[in-house]
Amino acid sequence: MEYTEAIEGGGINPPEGSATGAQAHRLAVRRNLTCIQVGGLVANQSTHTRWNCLVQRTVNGSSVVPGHLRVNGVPLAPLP
Amino acid sequence: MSNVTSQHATQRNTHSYGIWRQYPAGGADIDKASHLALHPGMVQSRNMLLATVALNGRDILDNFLLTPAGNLYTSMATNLLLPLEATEVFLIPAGGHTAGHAVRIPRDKPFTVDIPLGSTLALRVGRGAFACRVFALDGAGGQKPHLQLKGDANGMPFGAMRLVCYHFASATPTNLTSAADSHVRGVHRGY
Repeated sequence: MEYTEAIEGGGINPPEGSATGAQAHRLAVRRNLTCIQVGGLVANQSTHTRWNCLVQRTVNGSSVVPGHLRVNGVPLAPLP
Repeated sequence: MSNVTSQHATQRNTHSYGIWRQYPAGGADIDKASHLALHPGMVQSRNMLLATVALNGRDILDNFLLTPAGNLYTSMATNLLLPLEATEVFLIPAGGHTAGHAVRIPRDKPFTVDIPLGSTLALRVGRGAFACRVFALDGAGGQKPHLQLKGDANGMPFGAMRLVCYHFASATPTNLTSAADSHVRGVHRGY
């Protein structure tokens, strides 16, 4: 069984370079609620409520693709 | 600004801030809190964050049983740590169609304020502001969830208070091992 949490709202700040004001965002997270029940244990913690129960994340309908963390525009190397 | 931790505790104490000096002595009296894996699913667009976590009451924490009888809980809660130095704290009722009201909290002694489910909590710190709403929260062990804004003697010296999302609380240590307790939701949004 899958489950989606979604919220929609106007941003408090307008988008960069916009003169028209705030822009609506729609954020959604889709998860699998039952995958835990078929998962095993690692160090006595269930494996199937970890990242593999996270099905999809979207912003305004577009999937979020994980990327490297950036701080002030500078990409950080992946942590060990 | 948001920092989500999950915490459960056995026996008497709920050491939400993980301050080791304040853990009880060892031996049979060990009852420190443990942090359940959050299993997070987060998505952010500019200043809006949707944060979902899913706790599993079946997890056996730190790879050892905390009590002879098993994985017993007196509390299972998801905490959102907030700055105690907020100059203003507002509570907006569910629906957001009516004006909020200021929440007066002491800065020099512990406090507890009940927060209705579905309401929005807003803080102003200097020229910054933060607002959050918990719009999905599961209970565990057959209980109904509830929210409180708390200042603790353990956290206030560090400038922290917390929005506590209680999934379970009981004076009686209880196993939370049913299937219904295996995917306990806490969903927040923050601005």
